[in-house]
Amino acid sequence: MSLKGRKQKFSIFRGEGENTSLEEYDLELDEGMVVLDCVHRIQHEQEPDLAVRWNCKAGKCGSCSAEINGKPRLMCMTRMGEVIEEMEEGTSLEIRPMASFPHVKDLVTDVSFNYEVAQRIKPINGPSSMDWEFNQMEADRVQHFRECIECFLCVNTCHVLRDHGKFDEFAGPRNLVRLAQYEMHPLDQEDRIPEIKNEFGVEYCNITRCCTEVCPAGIQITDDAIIPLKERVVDRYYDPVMRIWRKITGKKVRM
Amino acid sequence: MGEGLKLPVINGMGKTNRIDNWISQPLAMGLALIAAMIYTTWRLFFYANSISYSLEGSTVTSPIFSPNILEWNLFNLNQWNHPDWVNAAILILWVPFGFRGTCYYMRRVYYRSFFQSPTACWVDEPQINKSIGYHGEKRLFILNNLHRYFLYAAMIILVIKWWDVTHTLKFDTGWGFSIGTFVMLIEAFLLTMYVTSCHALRHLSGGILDRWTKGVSALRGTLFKKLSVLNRSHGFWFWTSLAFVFIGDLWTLAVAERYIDDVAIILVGS
Repeated sequence: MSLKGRKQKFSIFRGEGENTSLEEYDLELDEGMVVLDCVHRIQHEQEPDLAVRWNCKAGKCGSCSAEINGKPRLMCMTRMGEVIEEMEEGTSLEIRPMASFPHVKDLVTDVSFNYEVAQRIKPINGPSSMDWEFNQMEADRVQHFRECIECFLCVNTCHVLRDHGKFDEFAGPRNLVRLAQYEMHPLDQEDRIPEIKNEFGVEYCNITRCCTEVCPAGIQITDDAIIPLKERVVDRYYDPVMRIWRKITGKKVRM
Repeated sequence: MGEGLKLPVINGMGKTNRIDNWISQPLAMGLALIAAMIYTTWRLFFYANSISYSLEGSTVTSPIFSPNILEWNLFNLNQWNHPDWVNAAILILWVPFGFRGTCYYMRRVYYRSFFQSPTACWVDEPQINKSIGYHGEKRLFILNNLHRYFLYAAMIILVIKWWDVTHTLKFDTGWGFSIGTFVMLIEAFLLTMYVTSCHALRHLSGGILDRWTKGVSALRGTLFKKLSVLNRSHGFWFWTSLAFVFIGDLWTLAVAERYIDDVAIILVGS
């Protein structure tokens, strides 16, 4: 589909505090535009005070997360051609800020919840010497998690937070990925399982996989991070055979 | 959490800003599971006939009623004077039901389709879900943590399923195969793929370890890696293996009731 010269309506969430509304804008598109290009053009030509957070325009910084036609996506990685194909002719493309986080202004939200949770996670506790060695297979498992760009689309998407507001009891998918990354690290000696169960609330996750569906970095959040953490919680708390085995081998663990 | 006004998520069951056809997947999956449950109930309690057929000395058993433990010599089960309503499926189906019911893929399906928790991503949940409070898998659904025990039981059933396939190969006049062989073979294969792609098996095989250095741990690491590849398609194996249970049962029913005929092809005469 050619975008050159095509007229497109936009509904963009504007305002701050209680004073917010969807504002309509018309824009003439150019070939190859992404949604962020359109927002920038509206900002440049029509609304210089339109607040939008962005940085790299390459899907690597995780700054430009928003809800485009109701789907959380990175604005810089969402091609206008693809969005228009999903829409009915003549309708407005709707851009809203992430709904799970406190709103600051226009398309900007306050995602500090994620950083506050991250600060409560015990860091990797490895050998004191710096010559850490482990094989490629061990590295691959945790390296996968380092591809996270902290766009927080997964956190915004998670219904435990979005619909049920369990911000005090649930760490959210991004920080469960961080916990998996640390907990499965081949040289890490720290035990975080009691915190993963109690403080970070992994049992609140009911595996609906929305976080995985929305991840722009393609991290298998549910299969590779959350489910393995849940299985480790089962090992510790719910598996009687494991308990007997720990008794026999005299292995002491925190509960 | 940081300061600022939290925007209201659109409230009300099924309310969303999404413009795509988000309802189709949970609806289709929910209907498929309801159909499976209705058919199974009918076969178990109202029409537990024609559960297998003999073809020139070979036996083809319906996947729903396989393994038919009431024909086993073990524990004199074949001599048990059981009530009329008892059949092989009633005694065995708790294993596949438990395994599928606690499966990590299946949880996604039923939380979405039956509990609307949520129906689809970015779609609001019904008010009742919010009124009763959300507990995730901390209360009733804590039972899902039994998944690994159902896995162990399912692995035993799986071995017996493969053993049952061999019963379709031996005919009065020699060794060969029939269409029923392929029905049972495909069912056993799909079930094997479903079980081996299980998240709990993946964890127990090697995921439980942080290090895969040498010897047994290296072997477990390799196993983890291989099972991880299968695990990516766990949903596919879930649906295909489930569908083939019913396709296999319909085939057995149709042949046993003489709507269609099976054919024996003898390769090695005795």
